[in-house]
Amino acid sequence: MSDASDDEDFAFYGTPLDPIEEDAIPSKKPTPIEDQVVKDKYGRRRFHGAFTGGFSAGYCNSVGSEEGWTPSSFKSSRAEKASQQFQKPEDFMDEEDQGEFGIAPKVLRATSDYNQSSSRKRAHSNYSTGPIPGQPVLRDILLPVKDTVGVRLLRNMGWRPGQGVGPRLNRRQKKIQQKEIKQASKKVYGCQLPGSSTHSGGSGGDSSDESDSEMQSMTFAPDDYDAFVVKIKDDVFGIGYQGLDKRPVLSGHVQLFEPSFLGMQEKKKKVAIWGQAFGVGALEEDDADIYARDDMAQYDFALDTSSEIAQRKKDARATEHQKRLALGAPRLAGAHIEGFVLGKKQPSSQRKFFRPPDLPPGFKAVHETKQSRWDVNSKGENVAKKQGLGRHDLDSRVRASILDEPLPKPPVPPPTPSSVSTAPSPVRQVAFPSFSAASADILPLAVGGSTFQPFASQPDKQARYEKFLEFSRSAQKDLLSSIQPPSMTEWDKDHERSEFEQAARLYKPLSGIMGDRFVSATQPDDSLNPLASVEKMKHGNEEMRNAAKMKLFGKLTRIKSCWQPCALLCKRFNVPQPTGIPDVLESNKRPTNYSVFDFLEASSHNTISAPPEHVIQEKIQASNSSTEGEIKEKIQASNSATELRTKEITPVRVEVIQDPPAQFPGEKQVTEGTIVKKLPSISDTLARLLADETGQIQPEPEEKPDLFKAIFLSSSEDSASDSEDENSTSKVEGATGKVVTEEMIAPRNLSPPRGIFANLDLDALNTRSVKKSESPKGKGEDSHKNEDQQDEELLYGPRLPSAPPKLNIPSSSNIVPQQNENASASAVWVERTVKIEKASGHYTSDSDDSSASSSTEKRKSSKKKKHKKEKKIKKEKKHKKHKSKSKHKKKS
Amino acid sequence: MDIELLKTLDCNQGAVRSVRFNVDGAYCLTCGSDKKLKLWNPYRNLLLKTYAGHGNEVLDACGSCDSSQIVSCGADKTVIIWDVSTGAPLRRLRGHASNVTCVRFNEESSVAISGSHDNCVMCWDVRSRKNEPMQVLKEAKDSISSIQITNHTILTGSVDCRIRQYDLRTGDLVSDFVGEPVLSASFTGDGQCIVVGCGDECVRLFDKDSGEMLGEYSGHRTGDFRVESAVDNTDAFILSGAVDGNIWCWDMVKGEVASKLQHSPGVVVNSIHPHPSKSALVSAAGQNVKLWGKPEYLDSD
Repeated sequence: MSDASDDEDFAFYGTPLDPIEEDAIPSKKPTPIEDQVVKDKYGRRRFHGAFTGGFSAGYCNSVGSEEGWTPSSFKSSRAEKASQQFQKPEDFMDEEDQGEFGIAPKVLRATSDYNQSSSRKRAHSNYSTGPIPGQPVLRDILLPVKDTVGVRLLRNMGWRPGQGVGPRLNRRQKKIQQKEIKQASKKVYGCQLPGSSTHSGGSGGDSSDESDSEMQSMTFAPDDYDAFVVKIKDDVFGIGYQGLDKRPVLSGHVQLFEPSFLGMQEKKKKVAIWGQAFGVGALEEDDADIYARDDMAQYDFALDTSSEIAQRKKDARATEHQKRLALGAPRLAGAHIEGFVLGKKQPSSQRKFFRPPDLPPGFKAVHETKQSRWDVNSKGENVAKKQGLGRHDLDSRVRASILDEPLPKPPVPPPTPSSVSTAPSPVRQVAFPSFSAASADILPLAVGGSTFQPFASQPDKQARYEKFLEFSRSAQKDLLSSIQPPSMTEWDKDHERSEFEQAARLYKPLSGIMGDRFVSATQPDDSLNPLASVEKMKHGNEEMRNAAKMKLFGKLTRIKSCWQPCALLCKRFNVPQPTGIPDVLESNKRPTNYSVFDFLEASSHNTISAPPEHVIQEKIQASNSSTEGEIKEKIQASNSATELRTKEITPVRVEVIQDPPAQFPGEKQVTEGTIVKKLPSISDTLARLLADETGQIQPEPEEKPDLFKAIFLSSSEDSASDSEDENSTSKVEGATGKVVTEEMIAPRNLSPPRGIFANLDLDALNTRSVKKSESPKGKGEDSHKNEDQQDEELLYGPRLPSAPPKLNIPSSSNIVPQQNENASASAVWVERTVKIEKASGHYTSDSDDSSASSSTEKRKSSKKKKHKKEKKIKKEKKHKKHKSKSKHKKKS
Repeated sequence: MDIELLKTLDCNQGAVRSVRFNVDGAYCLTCGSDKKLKLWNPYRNLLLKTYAGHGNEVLDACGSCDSSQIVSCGADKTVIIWDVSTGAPLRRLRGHASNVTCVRFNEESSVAISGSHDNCVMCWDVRSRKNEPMQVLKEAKDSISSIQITNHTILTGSVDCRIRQYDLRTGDLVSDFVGEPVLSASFTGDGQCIVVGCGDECVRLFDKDSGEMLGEYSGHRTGDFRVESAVDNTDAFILSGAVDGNIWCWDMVKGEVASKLQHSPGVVVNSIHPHPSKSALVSAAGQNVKLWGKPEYLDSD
């Protein structure tokens, strides 16, 4: 068979798909829904907006112009009269709308609404004026069966339902036709037998032709063809077999001539079973008519025989009749009103009452939820109440006792304010020691007071708990195990013990835990009387009040304290931030505030092995040109005077060098007190010596140290307190002492003087220092921190180029003497630093101060802890400093 | 004190809680109980601008050094910084927990410092846009009644009977017990003394450095009112408002009543503010503000 012939046999429906080219790779993804666009016949997009579901009649849609519907202008002239225009709905439609699937299709098709009257007019609604107004109700309900036009035409032509259509036939013709129909309707499976389709009825027809020749003239309507209805097979049964089919009795069309169904009652519904259920068993003989349809009514579905059923029915009927007769006693049977039939159903007037069920023996009428076995309080009692520690049971009196409140007194006459104010105090005084004494350890609740019963649900446990409290009070907690029942396991005992401890900790009186968090009112809260006079709050202490009363204002009423303005505030006020205690905090907050110059100089420092020494050295050099130089010279002058002095000084210096990074605040400890105390002694002696030497004490060094500090020290704090300490202990302050202490701290300053200080003419400053010491801004000068950051913050304008002095000192050992002595004395110093170790012993023996006897090692350690203490003392010193100042003035 | 009444301003803004000169004394600010702040030229009796935006009574105000800004505070617990020319609130500083009773700029007007009933003094950074105070001074144990700022000292007067001097340069806090609730505290012109209006109907003069009392000025009645006291620009007279409607002037040195300026009899003169450079004065009582001074001031201005 060729392909062409195959193709000819097929009928094609629809439009063929585009052939897929071999090379073409089908796109992996189908176009998603949101990209699919509805288009009309001409490929125009028709739906727009609103998620492309909306129809817009705008441009290029149903309206064909950009302007939309352009109104037709009215024109009328004498020549052309305007014709009246009628608009039809079609004018507003697209051509698609009039297509086959449009809203107004213009195609020829049969309509179903040729109504019988064939009148196209609207039926005039004549409303009835009867009892029910309006349109007759039944008109809409009882509609006549609509015949199609064709049926009606056929009828008019003489056709009757049931007849076939066609020219009338005589008898013979009809028989032939019937045969044909029968043959056609006969299903033939397989190949048709040859000759079977040939006219076979010829002989039979001939025989009857003669007999009813007189009926030749009679014509018959042809038989109706049964329309061939294709019934789709939707089951898997054999062809022609109908399985049992159960459906309600009135469900389908009742086919009178079909084998009857089996009526059954199922779930109070009458169902009928159609179909064949019972085939033929293998042993049964009659297998001729396997496909015969059985009348289901022939089957019995009950055990009793038909006669019995009949009998029973009869009996039932009889009794029913009797009953009916009895009911309708007054009336005779059949004497009811005409047109009515006696109801067969018996009115079910009697309600059935059932006996209540017998209760099972152990039944309780109350529902009880099943307790979990973990639930301790399974007694069915109020658990919450038990676990509420009994506080629900407390009355105000008990509560007051727990809270250590004064017991509410039985009604007494309203107390006078004075009595009230004093009344609670004894109570409190009594109460407070009690719990403060007990608060050292677990504070158990009142023993006798069964106010707190954390284990109230288990009385024996509660009892044990109370015992435990007693034990714990007598510090015999271990006795608890003795009273615990032996049935308890070790784990249980431990657990209980910890429970008890917890409870004892928790359930101590409120005052124990929170006593310190509240301040009891000093005045009674008279909430009922809002107008009660309130005592005026008294400010200040008694001493102050008395002083103010006596108008002795001044020292008695003045309190000086420290205050730390925040950095920003100082900045806004254009004042330097004062150094204070929170300075440490400040540095903690911003541990590194590098400036570019730090790094610049760091690079230069890197060439030198020991930066701290360098710093010292540099400072000394700077100071050599300054006032310190003068002092040094004085010292030099007195250098020869005594060996003692140098011996005293040197150990201190050694310390400085051996312990350079004493700048970690955390390491400061109390031991530094020794060095603090010792220093005065040194300075004391120095000062005395100086005084001996020069015969006078210069007033001007008083202010100088501040200046030095401001310039050189990393923290003026330390030196200030140092010097102040000296002030406090020594009667006379020597400038040299200052220098010494300064140098002690010197290594902390890790950077050389720079910025404006690098080129500062300190001599010039020195000359002014006397004046400054008298000015009230001396304090401010003091606060002039020399911290590098601070300096930079306070600097304005371009920085002067710093010229760090040349440093060629390689090792630290040589630096020490140089730092202390100017160039002329350096040789001497080198010699002595060698003696340092020996000298330290000498030093201790020489010093008259008792505290100085501590070893150098001790001092070393104490050195680190210096800052803190000094800061502490600082405040006190300030006053003293002032005093000493004035003393100096007097002396000078 | 030879000054006379020059002008009377009917502020028409309820009770005038305080009246303040601006930095050069050319204008004055009145804080009304009708939540408004008004800027006046008192010499011409001219209302220049009204600043509305407070949620409650305006209690105090201060003009900046360049007169471009005003800081005001009120019972709505806020401090507002105003733009003088536009009248718009530049910043609204919320932080106090209660009425803000007093507010001042520092000399550079870079910091506004406010005191409140919540016992706090708050330092607000005017330059930045932070809404939190730079620093809160919580030393006071009772309401702050007055604040004055010099170049590096903050002086606060508090109802806990103390005046406190916060020195920014030294980090010292000097608190002087006055014995009576402080109604107002201000430095004298030379900055060496502090004039303190006390709650016991007495104005006291204290030495700033020693805390000793230098003088007492009494005779007036303050009742339960917070009346302000001040010292005039020449440091010759101590001034104070009083319940009787007079402004009392004492000779500072002698301690005697020099004169009484009758503001309005029976109405409490609660706020006075001396002119920064001239011997002039504004005072507020009720809803009236009066300008006192010498007649030539009117002509010159």
